[in-house]
Amino acid sequence: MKETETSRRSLLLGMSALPALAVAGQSAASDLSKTLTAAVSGAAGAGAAAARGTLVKPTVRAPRGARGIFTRLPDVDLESQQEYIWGRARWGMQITRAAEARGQEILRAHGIDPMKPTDMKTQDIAALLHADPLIARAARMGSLNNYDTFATLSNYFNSKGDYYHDVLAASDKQGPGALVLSRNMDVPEYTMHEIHNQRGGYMGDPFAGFVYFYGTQVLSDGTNEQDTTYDRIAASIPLPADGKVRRILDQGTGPGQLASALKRRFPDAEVWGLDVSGPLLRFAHMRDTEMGLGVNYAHKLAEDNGFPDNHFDIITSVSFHHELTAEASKEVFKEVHRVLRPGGVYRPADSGINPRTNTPHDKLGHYIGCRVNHEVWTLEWSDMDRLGAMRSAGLIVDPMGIPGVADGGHSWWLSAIRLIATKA
Amino acid sequence: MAKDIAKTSKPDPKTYTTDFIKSDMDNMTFLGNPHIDALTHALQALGAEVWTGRRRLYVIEALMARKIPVTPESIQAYMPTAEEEQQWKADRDRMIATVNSPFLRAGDVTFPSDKAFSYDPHKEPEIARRPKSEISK
Repeated sequence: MKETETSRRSLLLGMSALPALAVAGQSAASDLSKTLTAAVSGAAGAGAAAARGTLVKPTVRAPRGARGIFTRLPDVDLESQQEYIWGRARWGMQITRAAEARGQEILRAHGIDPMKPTDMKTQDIAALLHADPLIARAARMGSLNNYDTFATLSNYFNSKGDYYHDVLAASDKQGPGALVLSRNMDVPEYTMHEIHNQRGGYMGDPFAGFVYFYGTQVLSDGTNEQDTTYDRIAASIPLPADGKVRRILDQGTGPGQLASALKRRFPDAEVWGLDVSGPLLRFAHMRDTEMGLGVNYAHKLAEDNGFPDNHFDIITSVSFHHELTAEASKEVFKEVHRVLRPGGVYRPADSGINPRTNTPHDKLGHYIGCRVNHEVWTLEWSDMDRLGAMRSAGLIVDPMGIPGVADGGHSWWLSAIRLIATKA
Repeated sequence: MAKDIAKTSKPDPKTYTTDFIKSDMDNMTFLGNPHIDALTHALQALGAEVWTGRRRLYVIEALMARKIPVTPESIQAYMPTAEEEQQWKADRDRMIATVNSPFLRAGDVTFPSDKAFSYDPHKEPEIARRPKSEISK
């Protein structure tokens, strides 16, 4: 076992970090210990800001400390790899814009207006473009960003599998929030895909929570490290008419960032985050435990959540429905109607909730999202009658009910999502 | 034979994982030749590895400047200043642009081709002339 692993194991066993760090095999070990003692910042982990230009005091789960509520990646080289991919994705906007311009030029040369709705099949439009070198390279480069981000993270956490199994197992039993996991649930096949080309998807990788959380920091251009996007979404949700918010449900909660934000806004409410993925929930619970918020997490299907009728005052989801089959989305709307109390607020914020326009530009965008980003169900979501399905379930829907959430980075799409619903 | 995946699956009692359905991204060819796709991917991976080494050097330099002993542990524990982060990211972006800028080329002049043979130096300056200010672009 390498020394760094020994150190982390020692940390797991509750031993002081500094003696472990002092076993560095350096001749100046005792000096190092003194220097570390002097140089280590007061930050212990998530929730405390470390002084910059100093060494960070490690904790069990945060061997490299934290920046605010963000726990740094556990290895500097892993962090550097992610930083590089993040920079590559930013640079990739140049080639994406150049490819878009080139694609429009080619379509116009064939007498096709890229912004005018058409009956042309997506594959016929794509056939005009795929041989262009610039467009092909843009698709190749774009595909590699997500793939490499998730693959490097998954490789790392699985290579330290014993350690992270122990971390999660210890966290599972801690509070203040509850973690309700199920070994008997029937997990539907449609949830098992490698969405976004995340290796193993949400279901197959025991460390999918770590992989998704850190991967989406890269893919969000670093704009959500402190949950700022989710805090803005939580702040945008209107109160029920009577102002009472006792229980909140966040569906498809993943690593729990919106559930955490809701608990920050409504500290006295009972907040539940719900997901089909045990690995994502275990990570969410671990993070919640570190922050001491007290969100409860349940391993359930949103289509069949097991809560009593009329139970919740607010129900939310973000970037959720486009990862379900159309049939599953309809069932979720029925379940929302069942567990939302009369006058309660339902706020599903999902990319692709705006109707498709059937322009070549739009068709290709959806196709690339579905095929290159492996969002296998996004076309079903964008093609279904979403408002009709919500209304059929009994919900009262206002598609332009609230202002969109203004935020930078990847979450620009949130500004267009203004839908709010309730129940009579 | 591929493992048969049931329509539903029970979570593993220890990890709460289930089977998963593999994406075909590993085998997708965008550039007309799987060897070129593989080389492009390898180049991107190599870039990340080179940057990882360079960023380690920056951390070591920062530790030395503060007279903190350079050890594997101190390298891991160092929290860069905002100024250092900004400088390192600027260098990262410069490196990424250098490595990747060839991918921005239109690449639509195949050689030999009618287009290449029809190059007319009397006409091309009218199309290709650029102001002095673009020398570095």
